Amino acid sequence: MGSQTQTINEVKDIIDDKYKYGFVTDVETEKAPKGLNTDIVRFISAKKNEPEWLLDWRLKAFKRWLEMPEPKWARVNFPPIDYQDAFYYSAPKTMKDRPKSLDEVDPELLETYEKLGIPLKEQEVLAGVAVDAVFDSVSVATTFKKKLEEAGVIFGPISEALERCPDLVKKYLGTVVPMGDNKHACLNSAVFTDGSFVYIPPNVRCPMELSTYFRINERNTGQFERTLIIADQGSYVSYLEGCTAPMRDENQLHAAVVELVALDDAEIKYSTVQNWYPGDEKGRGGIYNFVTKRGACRGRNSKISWTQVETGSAITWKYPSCILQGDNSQGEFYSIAITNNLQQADTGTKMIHLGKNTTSRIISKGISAGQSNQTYRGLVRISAKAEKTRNFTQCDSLLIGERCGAHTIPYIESKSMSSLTEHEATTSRISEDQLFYLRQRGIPEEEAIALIVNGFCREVLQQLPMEFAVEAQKLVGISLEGSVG
Amino acid sequence: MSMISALPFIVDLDKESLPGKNLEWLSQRRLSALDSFLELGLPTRNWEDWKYTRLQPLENTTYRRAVHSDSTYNIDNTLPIFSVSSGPRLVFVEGIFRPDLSKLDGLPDTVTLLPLSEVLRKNPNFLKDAMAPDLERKKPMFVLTEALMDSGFVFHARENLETELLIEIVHMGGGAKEPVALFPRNLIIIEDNAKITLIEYFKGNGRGTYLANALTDVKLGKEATLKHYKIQEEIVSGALISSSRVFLQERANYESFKLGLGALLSRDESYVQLLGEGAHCELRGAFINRGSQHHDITTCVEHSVPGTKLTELFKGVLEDEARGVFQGKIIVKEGAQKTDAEMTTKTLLLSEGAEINAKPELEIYADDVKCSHGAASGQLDEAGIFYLRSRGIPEPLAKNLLVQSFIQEAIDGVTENSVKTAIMDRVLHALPGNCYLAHEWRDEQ
Repeated sequence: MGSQTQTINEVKDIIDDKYKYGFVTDVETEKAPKGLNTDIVRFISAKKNEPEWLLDWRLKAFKRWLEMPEPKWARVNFPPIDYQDAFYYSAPKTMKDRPKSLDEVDPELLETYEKLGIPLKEQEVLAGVAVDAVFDSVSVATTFKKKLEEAGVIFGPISEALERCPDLVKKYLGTVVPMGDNKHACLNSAVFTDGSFVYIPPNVRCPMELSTYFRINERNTGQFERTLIIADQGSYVSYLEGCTAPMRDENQLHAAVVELVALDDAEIKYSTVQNWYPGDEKGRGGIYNFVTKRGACRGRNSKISWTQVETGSAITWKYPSCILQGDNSQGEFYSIAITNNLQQADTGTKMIHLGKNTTSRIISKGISAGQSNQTYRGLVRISAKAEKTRNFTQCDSLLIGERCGAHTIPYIESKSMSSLTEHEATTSRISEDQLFYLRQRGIPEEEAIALIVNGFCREVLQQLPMEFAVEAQKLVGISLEGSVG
Repeated sequence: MSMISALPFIVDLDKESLPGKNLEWLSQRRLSALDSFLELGLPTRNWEDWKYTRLQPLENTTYRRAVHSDSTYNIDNTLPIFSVSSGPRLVFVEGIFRPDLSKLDGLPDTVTLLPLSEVLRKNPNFLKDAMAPDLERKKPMFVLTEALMDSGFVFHARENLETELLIEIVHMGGGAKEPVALFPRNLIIIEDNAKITLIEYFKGNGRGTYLANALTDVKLGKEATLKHYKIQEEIVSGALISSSRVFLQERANYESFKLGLGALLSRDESYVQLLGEGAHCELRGAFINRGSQHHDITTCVEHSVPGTKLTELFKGVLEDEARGVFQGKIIVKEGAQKTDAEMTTKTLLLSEGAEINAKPELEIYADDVKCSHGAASGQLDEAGIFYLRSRGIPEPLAKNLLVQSFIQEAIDGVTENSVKTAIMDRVLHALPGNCYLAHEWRDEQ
C-alpha cells in the first residue's frame, strides 16, 4: 500500500505534466559533420583508434545497410527517416583526454547525473552498483573497476575492451546479431560509437549488479550503442540498463544492438527501464527506439532472462529474443509496456528452441492509454530436433480510454511432437467491479486505478532487481498521468 | 511455370462456355477480376496471410475445366451420402450439377436452392444484386473464382422461414482421369428471422487430381439463424481452397462447424463481419490429418458495432508428416464496445514429423471489451495413457479414447444432434493408427 501512495504522490508532483528528466546540459561537443557516408564511418573508427578488422567490418555493414530495405512489417507509423540529416558522432569536448578520476569529470556532467539520481559518488558504495555512464556516445566515468577486476570481470566501454581484450570482442561481436540482421542493426554495426562490454570469467558470480545509464543529449545525435555481454561457463551476471533523455521537439533515432552470450551453466539477467522522452500529448517529438536485443544460450543448462519496463519513446520497436541452442537452456521474457497519448509500441520477443529440453517463458503486460497503439509481436519456434521443450506464453493487455488500441500477434511454430506450447492472451479494461470495490472502501479513483494497474503488472515488476523495482513502480504511475479519471 | 500454364484456359476466358456467358455485366465482372488476379499472381510465403501455406506446387499441374462427360461413373452406391437425413439435397460431381442424384422436392416455398448456372439462366438480376459489389481485390484466390466461376449454388431462405429440414449440398470430386479445376461460387442468403440448417459435404471419389477454389458469400438478416456445417473427407489428391465471407445483421446467429479429414492441400478461410448489434458468431472445427497432408484454417472476425459475440474453437490432430496451420484474427473496431470474443486452438502432434503453425491475433481499438485467445500444442498425455492401460485397455485404444475426447470438445458445440452424431462417427473412423474402436474391443471381451 505504501508504494501505491508513493505512486500517487509522484503523479501529483508532476501534475503540470512536465517531463521530469527534460533538461539539456550545455556541454560543448565535438561532432562529426552531419550526414552518413563512408567517410563518417572511417571518422568514427579513427576517433576510437579501432583496429583494421573493425573498420572493415563497419564498412561492410555500411555497404549492406545502403541496400537493405526499411522493415515495414511493424504496426508503427512515422515519416521516412532522413539519415543524412543527423550527426553520427559527438563526444563531450572534455573527453579528449580521459579523466583519471571523478574529480576530473566536467562538473556540469556530474550535475546531470545528480539530477538523474545516478549514484556516482558515495551512493555507489551504498547501492553496490558499478556505473558505466554513457553521456551521449562516450563513456565518461567508470567506477568499481577495481572490485570487478579482482573478480576477473571485465566491464567497461566497448572501445576500451577493444584495447584490452580485442580477441574476445572479435570472437563474439556480431555473432548473435549478425550485421545484416535488419536495417537498424546494420546501421548500428556501421556507426556504433560506444556501449558496454562485459565478460564474466568461468565460475564467477559477478559481485555486484552492473548498470549503465544511457542518455541522448546532443541535439540531433542518434545514439548507436553496442552492448556485448559474455558469461563464460558457470558464471552469473545481472545487468541493469536505464534510460532517460532530455525533452526534444525533433525525433531522435536510437538504434542500439545488445548481444548476450551464455556458455555452459551460465546465467545472464538483463533488466531495462526505458523512459525516454515520448513526445508531447500531440505526438510532437520523442525518441524512435529501434533496438535489436538478442541472447544466445550457447551452452548446456544456460539461462538468459530479459525483463523490460518500456514507458517512454514515441515509437518502440524492440524484440529481446533468446536463441536456445544448448540442451536444457532456458529463456525468459518479462515485459511491461505502457503507452499514452500518441505513443506507438511494437514489442515482444522471439524464443527459438534448438536444443533438447529447452524451456521458455513469456509474460507480457501491455497498458494502452490515450490514443496510443501497442502491439505484442512474438515468435515461439520449436525446431524438429528440440525434443521435450516447453513454452509458456501469457500476454495481457489493459486498455484505458476509448481511443487507444492493443494488438497481439503471436506466431507459434512447432515441429516437435514431444514439445508443449501454451499461449494465452487477454484484453480487457480495468474491471468496474474491482474499481467499485476499492472506491467503496474509501480509496480515491486515481489511487484505485494505480493500485489495479500495479497489480496487473506485478508478475513482471517482481522480476526486477530492487533498484529498478522502485523506479519502475513510480514510472507506471507517471506514465499513465492524465489518462484516467 | 505460372498459373497460366496451370490453368491454360484462362488465356481465352471469353471463348470458354462459362455459365452466364450472355450476360454483359457478368462478363465485365469476370474480366476485371481476371485482370486483378493476373496482376497479383499466386500468393507467396512473403504474404503475411500465406506465411505457412504454399500454393506454388499447384503450378506444376496442368488443369482443365470440368466437362459433363467426366462424371460418368456410378456413384449411386455411395448414397445416401451423409446419412444424416433424407431431406433435400443438391449434388455436384466434379462441379457439374447432377439432377439425377439431387432431390429438390419437399423444399418449402420460401426456400430457393438451385445451382448457380440455373439461377443465371432464370433470374440473373437476383444474382447481380446479391453478389457483393465490393470484391476484395487484394485476395488472389477470391478474384480467381470471381473470374472463373463455373459452378456453385444459390441458397435463399426468405423472411420468417423456420424448418426442421436438414439441407445438404454434396460436392464429389477426384473421379476424373485428368486433373480438373473447379471454381464454385456460392451464395447463401438468409433473410430476417429465418432459421435453417445447411450441411456441405465434400467427398473425394477415386484418386484423380483436382483443384477446387470456392468462394461463398453468406448473408444473415436480422435475427436470422444459420447452422452451417462442412464435412470434408477422403480427398486423396485434391486441393481444396474455400473462402467464405459472412455478414451478420442485428442479433443474427451463425453457427459453423468444419470437419477436415484430410486433403492433399486444404485451406479454409472465413471472413466474418458482425455488422449488427447483438450478432453472435460461433466458429468451430476439428481436423485429423496424416501423410503429407496440409490443412490450413484461417479466420478473421471483425466486430464493427457494440455488443457482438464470438466463440471460436479449433482442434487439430496431426500424424506422420502432416502440417496444420491456424491463423485466427479478431478485430474490434473503434466504438465496438461490449465485444465478447474468445478464440482457442489446440493441436495434438502424434508423430515426430508433424508440424503446427499457429498465429492467433487480436487487433483491438475499443476499451470496454473482453477478448481472449489461447493456443496450445503438444502430444498425448502419457499419464492418461498409463492410467487407461493400467485398467487393461490396450494402448491403441487408450490413445484413441484420448484423441476422441480431445476432439469431442469442439464437436460438442454442434447443436444439431443428428449432425453431431454423424460427425462423431466420421471422427471415430478417421482416428489415427487404424486401431480398433471401443465397441469392437468390448465385443471381443
